[in-house]
Amino acid sequence: MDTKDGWKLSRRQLLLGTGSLALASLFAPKLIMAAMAKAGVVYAPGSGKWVGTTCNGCTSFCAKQVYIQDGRALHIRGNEYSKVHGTASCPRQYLALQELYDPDRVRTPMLRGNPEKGRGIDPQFKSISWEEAIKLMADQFMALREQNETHRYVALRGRYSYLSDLLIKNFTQVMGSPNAITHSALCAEADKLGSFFTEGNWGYRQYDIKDTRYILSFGVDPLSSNRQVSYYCKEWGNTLDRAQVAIVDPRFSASAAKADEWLPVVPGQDAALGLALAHQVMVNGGWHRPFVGDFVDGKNRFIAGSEVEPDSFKEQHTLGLVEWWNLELKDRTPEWAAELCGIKAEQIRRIAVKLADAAPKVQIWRSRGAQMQHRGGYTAIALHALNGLLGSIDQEGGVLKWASVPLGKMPSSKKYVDEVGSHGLKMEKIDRRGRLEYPALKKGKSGGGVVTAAVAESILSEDPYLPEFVLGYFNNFTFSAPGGQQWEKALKKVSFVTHLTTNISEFSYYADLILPAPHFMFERWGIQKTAGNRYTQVSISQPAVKRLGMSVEDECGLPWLLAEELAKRGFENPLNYLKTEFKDPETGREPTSADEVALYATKILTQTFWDPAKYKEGDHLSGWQEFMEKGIWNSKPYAFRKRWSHMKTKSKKFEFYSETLKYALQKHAKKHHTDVDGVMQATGYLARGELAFIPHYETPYRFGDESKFPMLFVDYKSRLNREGRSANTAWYQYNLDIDPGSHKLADAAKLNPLDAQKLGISDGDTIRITSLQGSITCQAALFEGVRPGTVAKAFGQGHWAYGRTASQQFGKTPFGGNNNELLPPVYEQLSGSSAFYGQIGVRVEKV
Amino acid sequence: MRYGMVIDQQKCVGCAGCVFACKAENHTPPEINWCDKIITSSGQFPDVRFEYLSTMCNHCDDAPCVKGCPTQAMHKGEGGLTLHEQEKCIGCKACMENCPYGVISFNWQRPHQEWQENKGLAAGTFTPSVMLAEAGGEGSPLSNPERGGSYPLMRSRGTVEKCNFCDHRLKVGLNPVCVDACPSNARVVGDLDDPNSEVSMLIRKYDGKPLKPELGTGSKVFYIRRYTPENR
Amino acid sequence: MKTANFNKMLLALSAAGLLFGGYFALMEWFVGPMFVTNDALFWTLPLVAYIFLALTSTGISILMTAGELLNNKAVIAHKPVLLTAALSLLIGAFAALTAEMGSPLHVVWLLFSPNLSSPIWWMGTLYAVELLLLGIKYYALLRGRPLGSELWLTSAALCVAVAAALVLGSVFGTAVGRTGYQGADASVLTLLCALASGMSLAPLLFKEQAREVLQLPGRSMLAGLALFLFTLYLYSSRSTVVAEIVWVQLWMPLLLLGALLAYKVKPALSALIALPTVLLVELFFVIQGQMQVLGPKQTWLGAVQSYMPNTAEIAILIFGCSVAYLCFFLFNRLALRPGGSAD
Repeated sequence: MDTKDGWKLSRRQLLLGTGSLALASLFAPKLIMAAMAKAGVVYAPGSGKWVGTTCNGCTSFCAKQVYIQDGRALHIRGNEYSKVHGTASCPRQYLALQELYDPDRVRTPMLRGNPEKGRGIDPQFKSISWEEAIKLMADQFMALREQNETHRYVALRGRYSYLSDLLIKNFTQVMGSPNAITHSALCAEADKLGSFFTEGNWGYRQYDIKDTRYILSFGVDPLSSNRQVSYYCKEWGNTLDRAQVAIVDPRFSASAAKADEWLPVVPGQDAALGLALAHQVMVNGGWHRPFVGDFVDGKNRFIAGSEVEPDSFKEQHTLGLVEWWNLELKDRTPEWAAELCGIKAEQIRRIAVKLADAAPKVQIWRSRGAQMQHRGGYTAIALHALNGLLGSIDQEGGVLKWASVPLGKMPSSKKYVDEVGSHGLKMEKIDRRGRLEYPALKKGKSGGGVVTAAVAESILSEDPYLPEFVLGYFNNFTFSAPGGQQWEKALKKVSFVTHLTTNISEFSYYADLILPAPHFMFERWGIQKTAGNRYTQVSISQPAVKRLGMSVEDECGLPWLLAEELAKRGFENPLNYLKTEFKDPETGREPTSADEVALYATKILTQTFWDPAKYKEGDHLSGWQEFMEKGIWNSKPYAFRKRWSHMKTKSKKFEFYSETLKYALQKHAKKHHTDVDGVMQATGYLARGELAFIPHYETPYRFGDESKFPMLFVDYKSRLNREGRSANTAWYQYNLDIDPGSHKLADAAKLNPLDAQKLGISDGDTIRITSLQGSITCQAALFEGVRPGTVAKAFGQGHWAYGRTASQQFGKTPFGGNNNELLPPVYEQLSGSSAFYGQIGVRVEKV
Repeated sequence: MRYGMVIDQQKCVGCAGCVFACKAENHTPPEINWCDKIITSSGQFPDVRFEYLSTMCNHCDDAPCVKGCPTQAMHKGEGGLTLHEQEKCIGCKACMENCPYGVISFNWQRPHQEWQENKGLAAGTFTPSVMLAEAGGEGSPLSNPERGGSYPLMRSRGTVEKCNFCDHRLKVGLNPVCVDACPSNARVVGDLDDPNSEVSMLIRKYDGKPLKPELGTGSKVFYIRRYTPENR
Repeated sequence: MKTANFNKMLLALSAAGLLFGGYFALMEWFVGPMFVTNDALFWTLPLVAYIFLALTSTGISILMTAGELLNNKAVIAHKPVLLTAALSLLIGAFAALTAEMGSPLHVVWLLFSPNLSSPIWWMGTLYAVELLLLGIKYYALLRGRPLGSELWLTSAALCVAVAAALVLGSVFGTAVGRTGYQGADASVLTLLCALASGMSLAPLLFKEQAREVLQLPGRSMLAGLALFLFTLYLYSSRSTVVAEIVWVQLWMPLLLLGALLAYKVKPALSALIALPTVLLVELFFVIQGQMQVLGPKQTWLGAVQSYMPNTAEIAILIFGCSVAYLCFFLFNRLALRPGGSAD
């Protein structure tokens, strides 16, 4: 019965003093409250408990505290012990609560009933027990071992914690497969490439906004996404008191709304703007002399169009400034750039002056959008070189790296690999890394990185081979990888796909076996790190509430369950590995359950933080108990300028002429018996000769003919995206309008009113967007904050599975459209990074 | 004692953290936000502006909703708060008509009824009612029993609801949850009667203004500084 | 004969209307919302149905009580029919209101925890008192002899009727921050609407030969409302307030003038023009103040609303009218039955 009726009754009781007990029982909640009050259960505000954990909603990986009351997670905040962000947070953390209590979550293991796989085809999943599920997986492993083809097992990792190595790498190694495939190439490898080949840092940066005077951001929307959103949200308003901010982005972002200047660059042309700024800074004599050095006689010879004698300039902590100028920058005038990037020359000049004025307290930010393009590698390097030029590297108010922290390593599993396993490990990895066209130069090493999205291609063409058993974990590549359609086809081809997931996603829809995963933030152990505010922190996730449904610890627990079953079948190495290497560092006890492996692994990896006997630096903690209660360890404050001339580059300097890249490319070329030009050609770059080693301009690759696909597509991240996982929450759908120009309860593609008028599209119309890759339908939002000729749309919607809120019709019809069905499966091949951005030609029409 | 709030628009980054914290604290259904926002976009490419203005009940000293309410469901409480008593609400919507700020919401539907459904997506998934039973909670797993002590967690269909400044938290010395949740520390709560309170000082320093001051409602949420940087 | 058939037809229509409207009222009471309302546009046709029926009842009450107090023979002669009409219309109004408020009991509870500064409380209370007074008068009618305090009762009923109509307007007139609602003119409007609709209906309740007495007051009231609307029209069409949405339209006073012209010769036609016009005037007025979406609701609903009633809302209007007519029929039957004293 409706509570309304109960309400009526209670009202009558109140007013007339009548009402029978039988009728009053209709008003159950009131009675419960009364009963609780009688029993002395009073939930005084603030009487709950804050438990330390970590958010995995985006790559900020903020340390959190979850508020537990009545056994449920009710609030989330930044971890009060964090020196990075303190209690500050962001909006997407809250959506985790609705993820946790998502009524569409997977509750038990499920087995496919219908052998036919496809979108719109009911898989007829049926609920099975964990024993059955583990047995099925063990069957697959044992069969592969018997065939001596263990390499046909492929482990795919999406989002993860530092514990994930156990499931993805070490366990996979013991199982004899080289195929520990991470999602990193979907994430931001091209970004790391930029700082690696200039300053030897294969990693992310923190921006010291507390003390800066100028922020120039290429595509970064730090108030919304990527990385340390919490810290930047906390400090941004104060920074505006001291610094000017310019945001370069084809679409008007949340950060652009809080900036002094918005530079709506033409998609794919960030490098033109960056190089012209570098040119102008040099012409103006604005480089930071203490870092870069100066002309011997102090006279500026950087004059547009003319070369400079290398000996006339004496560099300090950098290498190759004059080469950069002579080979590239001398002709990169603001006028040259203006035509390409759509930003007026006078504006470029003005900003160049401001940058030089503020140097070295300036920061050039760069995001996925500017770099994860088919020819975006050199953009990454060019934009980072601008930081070098302005001397902001490792300076107060400048650009800092994430300090390295003494986080432990997963105990090695090498010695548990048997003969069958070693045979499998020798096979080529399924992602083709290291091939001529996929250098994947992680840390400069050929094939060091991952080419995540190439796996689908490999499966489809059975080159190098066809996997038989694919385990996907915390991933949804059918949804999150460009050219998602390709993944759908690929997964159909694999005979046994297992998916470890919280929701039946687009990936799960092709799975034969689905395993319920715990929610990362509330139901399991995990480790993450992040940096900001001059600190780097390591925080743990921990089970803060009782696990819902039948999920088990995924990254550590699943290997345990499998190892137990495999041991029963005579293959004991995995279990031996876990029992021997994952003893509780406090008591020395062997693990006896999935939960214990997870707990002990967490303790092992973080021991240097909590064990006073192993103390190295940063926060002093008294022991595991304190660490667990706080959930976090902070590094010592950042040491400024320590890396000047001690960088991990070939020359130890900040390289404008990258000896490091030269070495890497030459080595890769040699491996494939070609030269660097050959590598450039194979990876789609236009540069030849020396240009390959310096930050230079590459004409962006346009996907789709301008005549057929006249507009350019701009993909971005919503403020409410927990990567692709929050669309099934009502709070997400009802509040999407916090993204400038977006609509609530819609998957909105933003068009400039000028374009809309030409196309006959009004606000709220249903439109179809088509690229060479595919076609999606969504809602039009007319917004002046979109560069004419482009259409901007956030990733995150367009689910046709995942849940009833995320999809229009679960299993069949998407709500809106998935951007990745428009994006081609192409790469920034030097890093292996998927190219989500650049010049993606699309056609927009009213439906 | 007169509770008031100051919202620093320069510090606000428009993240809506306040909105979500409020939803979590007060168990509002998805379509009702006690803490909400006014969003304005203006200008023409490339000179575009976008502003986020956080809104909630202004707890007016001379509250039009209180005057208009026929049953005293909407009433003035301790500390000058404008409070709502669910039990007395008859759903006449006079408060909604009278509120010049548009911050009172009506429960057209029975709130949280989606949790009663017992249909899952597949044999091995939860259903709303199974999730509710397994996770616990009154009406939905997200219901906050701390709120339930002084305001019903399950509001009746046909009644209004609105922000009450987290009166239950103020009572025990805690800030309203939106204040604590704001990552930018853009919100400050305090006593407007005390000239030395932070709110009073901020209002003086930055010449804080409430919304629609011309109406003379005595609204007690003040805004200071600009969302968009000055030299824009 | 003709009239009897017409009455039968009306009765059948009302019964059908009761079933049709009743279905939607029941849905609204017990199942869920069916109207095209939202957090910005929350008062729509069902509330207007209430306002229209209540004000028409008020108009008739004023005619009846004033006539009684002035000792007008024609009016006194028609007292039973006027009384049953006023009473029935008010019951119909409350029937519509219960649907608008989602529950019959909500209306009752209004009375119990009074807020004396609330126009809605006064409106509700005054109409409840009016209902009571009319009820007592009807009881007296049924009893067949006047009560000792009939004069007081009649005076009170007149005062309450006038006050109720004025207070109904003040529900809107006292709203701050809504363009078009503020001001005393809202009360003037509701009172004039009450008088105009009451006086339009009155000739149909009067025997043909007795209608003469209605001519001056009836036509004055129609003229009064027409003049008032015309003035508002002139005023608002010259308004330079951008946000102001003009609701008065020229056809409103013009139609009322048409009704005025037909009042003497074709009273039924006059009522057929005047009553819907007054209803629309009330509808336009009520909707207008809610068109501009206030505050954060804009992020949900857009800046401006538009309105078109749906079936459920029209059904509630029909429901109210049907209840009113059936009550009227029933009350008249009771009053006219042998032993009853009327006529």
